[in-house]
Parts: sequence; structure tokens; C-alpha cells
Amino acid sequence: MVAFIKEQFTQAGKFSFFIARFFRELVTPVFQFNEFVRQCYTIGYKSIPLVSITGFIMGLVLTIQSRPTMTKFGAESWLPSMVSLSLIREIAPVITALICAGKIASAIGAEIGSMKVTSQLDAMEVSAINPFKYLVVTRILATSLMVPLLVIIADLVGIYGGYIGYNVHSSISLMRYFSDVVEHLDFIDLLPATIKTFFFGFFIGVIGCYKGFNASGGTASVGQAANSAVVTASLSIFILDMLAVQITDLFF
Amino acid sequence: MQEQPIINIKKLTKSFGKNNVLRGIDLTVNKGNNLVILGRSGSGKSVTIKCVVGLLKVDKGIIDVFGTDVTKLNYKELNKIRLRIGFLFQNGALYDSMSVRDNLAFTLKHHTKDLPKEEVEKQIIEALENVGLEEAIDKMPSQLSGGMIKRIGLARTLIIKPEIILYDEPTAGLDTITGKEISELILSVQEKYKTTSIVITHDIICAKMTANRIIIIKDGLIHVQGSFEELKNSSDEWVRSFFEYE
Amino acid sequence: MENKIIKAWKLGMFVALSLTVFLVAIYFIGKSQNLFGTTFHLEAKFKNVSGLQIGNNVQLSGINIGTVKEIEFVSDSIVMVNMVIRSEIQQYIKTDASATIGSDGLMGDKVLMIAAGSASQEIVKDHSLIKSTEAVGMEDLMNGLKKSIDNAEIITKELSEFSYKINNGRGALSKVLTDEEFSKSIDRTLQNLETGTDEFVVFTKKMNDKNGSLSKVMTDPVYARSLKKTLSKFEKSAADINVFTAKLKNDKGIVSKLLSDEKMANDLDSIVTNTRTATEKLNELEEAAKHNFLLRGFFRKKEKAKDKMEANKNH
Repeated sequence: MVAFIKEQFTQAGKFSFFIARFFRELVTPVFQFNEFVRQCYTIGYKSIPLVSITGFIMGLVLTIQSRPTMTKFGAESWLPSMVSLSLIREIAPVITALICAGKIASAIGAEIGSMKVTSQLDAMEVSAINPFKYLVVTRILATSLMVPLLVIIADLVGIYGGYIGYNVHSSISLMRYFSDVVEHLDFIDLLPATIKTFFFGFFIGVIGCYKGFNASGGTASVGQAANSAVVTASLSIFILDMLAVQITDLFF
Repeated sequence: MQEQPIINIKKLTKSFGKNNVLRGIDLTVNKGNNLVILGRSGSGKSVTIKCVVGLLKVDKGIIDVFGTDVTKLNYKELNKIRLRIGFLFQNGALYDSMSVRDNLAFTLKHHTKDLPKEEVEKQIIEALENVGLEEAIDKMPSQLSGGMIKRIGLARTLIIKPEIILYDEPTAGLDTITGKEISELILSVQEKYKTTSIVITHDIICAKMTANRIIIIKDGLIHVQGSFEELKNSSDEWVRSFFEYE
Repeated sequence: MENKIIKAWKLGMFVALSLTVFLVAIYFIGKSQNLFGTTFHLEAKFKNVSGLQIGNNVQLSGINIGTVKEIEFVSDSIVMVNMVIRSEIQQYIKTDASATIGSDGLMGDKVLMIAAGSASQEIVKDHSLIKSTEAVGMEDLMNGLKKSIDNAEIITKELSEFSYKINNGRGALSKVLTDEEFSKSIDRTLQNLETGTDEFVVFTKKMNDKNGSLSKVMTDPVYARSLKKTLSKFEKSAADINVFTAKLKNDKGIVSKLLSDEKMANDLDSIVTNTRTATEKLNELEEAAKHNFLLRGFFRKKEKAKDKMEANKNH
């Protein structure tokens, strides 16, 4: 039991060192710009379809599901603003982050893990290329910056999905719908939600890289790294979300 | 020139946990020489050369390369030394997300930023010609056979024109004929670029072909060293057992 | 290389698109809170802001023109509300404008409503204080509403009783509404009334005729005087009648006795009965006399004279 707890603390310590190393390597010169752009493309652009589809469905379904209750209270006209508020504040960030945890964290974990076990990381090292800088820094930075952008896309598409959902039973013009949405929005709705997505992205990248970087042994550990990256990243997203909501609640 | 030591290792110890892998290795490689290290699996041969390039941190001892102790260098200085050392991994360790061309260009571009494209291309082709695989330039590593991967791996180390090449089991997992081809390649590279090499192998044929001198490691210490013929006719039965299948 | 250029282009498009969406959202939210563009400030003092919050809309004629920026106490019972309003609206708000706190729908947010003021006044200046009308709170509204509802309840109760009586009762109104006979009689009455009015019209015409006696009565002073005299005599006689009736009422008078004494009334009754009996007997006697031969001639003569009279009449 003691050994188990000690092991957990060791893991936490290693993880903290990993994050510290990221920031150290981030500020020291030679930034792998090309690799960063390539990762942004893979992580950001390639995830647009997936994120858009989930965002659209969330908006549509949320509108259709909320309608009966809202109608009961005679507040059907509040549907656009309510749906868009819940999308922007909570659903789009969390769902997008979870999708990215599934798609990106696992890919990073598997990629770096396989590079590790086939000594490609060592090969880089001996060619005087810092694999941490080349692989880890670029990926973490790419996820940190791309996930918020993906969330914005998900917000937009989700709100549009809400519009379609609203028009299933009644009709409203797109212009009216969006002005209704914007009218009830506040910076308090948009900014904390956007800030927390940076953290989501950061942790998706960090956990994916960490699990990959610490894969050891045979090819089995690659699968393990990918799996554990997804699980840990998803869990951390929920924990981060809870913290973010509490902090937001505290200050505003 | 003949007796100028390039690599000089003194009292090298390294342990993983409670497992003392190296317990005081002393060895010297002179310029232009090929040193072959023999030993059973897990005897610490690979660990030794990984310590030389700084992939592993040594516990104690001195590793003197080009007259500087690599164990005392910081990361930046170590990288400068690393650029003068080639390292061929056991499995080739090609970057499997990149084509052969990008694999070769990767290191080159990384260290010579303002090299014109044509020059990069020229050097890639030259390196591939050295290993006889020009036609594989646009292939992905997954499309290559084991022997080809080893040769591309060698080409990748050659492209930075290293003064020392460290081979980690270059013939492992290959058939005898391909193994011989690789051994010949090692020799021809050495002829051409006047490199100093350390070859780690179990393969006696490879050792016979490439070695100027052979070291056998046992229990983390150098058990015996000498030329191929000397060791083959050694009075030690354990040493002679390495040469049984020649 | 070709591949890389396309990638960079796609990535750039993605980044640009999402950043644009974000900035547009920021802009629109900011616009709805008047963070951009020129604005001016107005202040109003209230005793009770009924839950108005910072960021609530300010409306003029039902249009959102700004937001509430600050709400703070200036003394223990007065709250100062500071609002930010778009500059282009300034020209419509005059110095006598007043602010009221209302609400946006039954469950909606509070809004600060500004009445623009009269056109003749000057335009408000930045940071000036405008009048305020105390808000009608939800509680007041509910209290008023309750009173009205109680009253309405009583009224409807009575109304329902009333209509029940109409439908089932035997009162006059019921008859009016339900009895056919009655309606016919009313119809007749109305016809009579019509005739009456027609005649009245003729009468009034006559009355208006200058030579008519009534007209004379109305206009001629001589008549008037004589009429006055008559009236005063009439008055006097009425007074006499009064005295007479007073005496009449008095027990001792015979007429009074006649009217009020029961015993006398009984006597009178018996007298009348006796008289009737006597008359009957007399009639019988007369009949008997007719048949008597002695008197027959007399009766025959009498009859003839009667016939003769009737014959004359017919001619």
C-alpha cells in the first residue's frame, strides 16, 4: 500500500518534471517551426470534420430535447439563447476536448511511444536533434492552440445546429436567431470558456506526449501508452472543467 | 597518426538499479581502427557505446572522445560532439513517418539551415550511392526489407560525415549473405571516409571481416582483448566458444 | 514541397476562420454592452432599484440604447444608477427626461426605461442627472392585482346569484323577460303611449298657438292675475278642506264616526240591509197591485204613456 502510494507520487513528480521541462525547452531557442505547423495541420485542420459533426449534433439535439420543457414554461423563445449559452459555456468545450482526447492524445501517445520503443528518439538524440523540442514542445503547443480554435468552430456549428433544431417545430430566421443568441451572451460566458480550452488542449498534448515518452519495452507498451493517454486525458478534462467552473464561479 | 587515440574510456561503470552492468571498462580506439566488441546478450556492450554518445549517463569513469570528456559536457557541447559521431541502431531506427529522402535530409537540414535544396539532394544521393540504394529514395521505411533498413540507416549516419561510427549489432536479424554485404559496406565506408568505428556484434563472420582488434566483455569487465586470430586460439575455453561456428 | 504549401494554406484558413468567428463574437457582445463606439453617461437617483443589475439594458421607446454601468449608494436611502448610452441617441433625450425601472417580460431582466422628455427642452449633457420615477415593484403589482381579483370574485358571485334569480325567480324582471302576456301588454301600453304622445303633440301645438287659452294663461298678465287669485282662493279652500278633514279625523264628528267607528258601521250595515228588505217587500206589493183589477187601469195608462214616449224618441 505504501509502495503503491509512493509510486503514485513518483508518477506525479515525473509528470510535473515533464511539464517543467516543456516550459524550459519552450523558452530556449531553436523552435521547430515547420514541425509545429505540421502538427497544427494534423491536430487542428484534420479534426475539423469530426468536431463540426459532433458540435452540430449537440446543438441540434440539445434544442430538440429542451424544447418540451421550455414550452411547458412558456419560454420557448429563450431556447436559442439557452442552447447557445450551454454550448458555449460547457458543452462545446468539453465535448470537443473529449473528442480531441480520443483522437489526438491517443495518436500522440502511440506515435511517440512507437518512436521510443524503436529507438527513433535515440536516433534523433544522437543526430544532435532534441527530440523533446522537436516532438513534444511542438505537439503540446499545437494542441494548446488548436483545441481552442476547434472549440470556437464547434461553438459556431453547434449554434447553427441549434438553429436547425429550432426550425424543426417552429420557424425563425437565421438573422433573428443569431441576434437573439448574441443579445444574451456576455463576456463572462465566452472568456472563461475560451481560457479553459487552452488548458484542455495543453493537457491533451502533455498527457499524450508524457505517456508516449515514457513508453518502455515492447510494442505492447505502445498500445498501453495510447490507451492510457486517452483515459488520463479524458479524466483530466473533467477535473479541469470542474476547477475552471469553480474558479469562474468564485470570481464572477 | 597511426597510434592516435580517438576514443579513450577509463574505469567506466554503469548500473541499472541493483544490476551492475559495467564495472570498470577501460578501452582505447585509435584513429582509423575498427574495434569489435563481443559478448553475450546483456553483458553491457550496447550500454558502452550508448554512454559514448551520451544516450546514457555514466555512473563513474571518463569517456574521452576527440580529447574531451563527454561525461562532463553540457547538452549543447555534447551535441557538437554528437555531430561528429555516427550511430547505427540495431533496428535501423528510421523515422517511419518520413520517406527515405526525408529521413536522410532531416539531420542535414536541421544542422545546416541555409543549405540550398540542390545541395541537400546531391548529398542525399551521394549517401545512398555509398550504400547502393539510390532507387529507394522515395520509399517509406515500411516498404523496405531488414537489410535495406540497415543500409539506409547507415546512409543516414554517413550524411553528416562522421569521424566515428558506432555500429550496434549491424548484422543482427539478417541472413548470412546480407550480413556479409553489410560487413563489406562497413569496411568500404571506413576506407572511403577514414572513419574510426566500434562494432558491437554476436556475428563472428562480421567480427572477422571488420575487426582490427576484438574485445570480449564478461560480467561488466573486459575479459580479454586481441586480434581475431589471437582470440580464436586463446587458451580460455569460454573465449574459444565464441569462434566455434566460424 | 507542393504538399506542404497546400497544408499551410488549409491551416491558415482554419486559423483565420476560427479567429474571425471569435473576434466577431467578441465584437457583437461588446457592441451589445457598448464597449466600442462613442458613448455618454447619464445618472438617475432611485429609492429602490427593484433588482436592477449592472449590465441591464437601458431602453428608450422600447429600443435598447445602452446599459447600466454602475449602481451605488449615495446615502442610506438613495441609490445612484449610472448608465452608458450610445452617443447618437443623445439628441433624442431632453433635460426633462425621466427614468423608470421596468421589466423585460414577466420573468425577464429588469430594464431601465427612459422617457425622452418634451421636444422643446434642451438636449441632455454628458454625466447629467435626470429625473426618476419610482418603479412599480412586482410586489406592489401583485398586491394591486390581488385586490382586483378579490373584488372581481365578489362581483362574479353576485352576478351569478342574480342571473339565477332571473332565470328561475318570479320577480318582476323575470316576468319582464319571460312572460309572453306581459310583453304583449307592454306592447299595447307602448301603442297607447304612442297615441298619447301623438295627441300630446297636437295638444302642444295648440298650446303654442298664441290665441289658445292655454297660451293666454301662460302669457297674459290679466289671466295670470286672475289665475293667481283663483289659486289663492283655491289655496284657502284647500286650507278649509284641511280643517274639515282634521275635524273629520276627530272622533267626535259624525263623518269621522262614519269612517272609523266599527259599531256605527255595523249599524249602518244593518240599516242598509233593512232598507233593502223593505224595498223588496215594496216591489212585491207593487206587483200584487198590478194584478189587482182596481188598480189595473192606472198601470195600463202608465204603460201606454211609456210606449208613446218611446215611439216619439224613435222618430
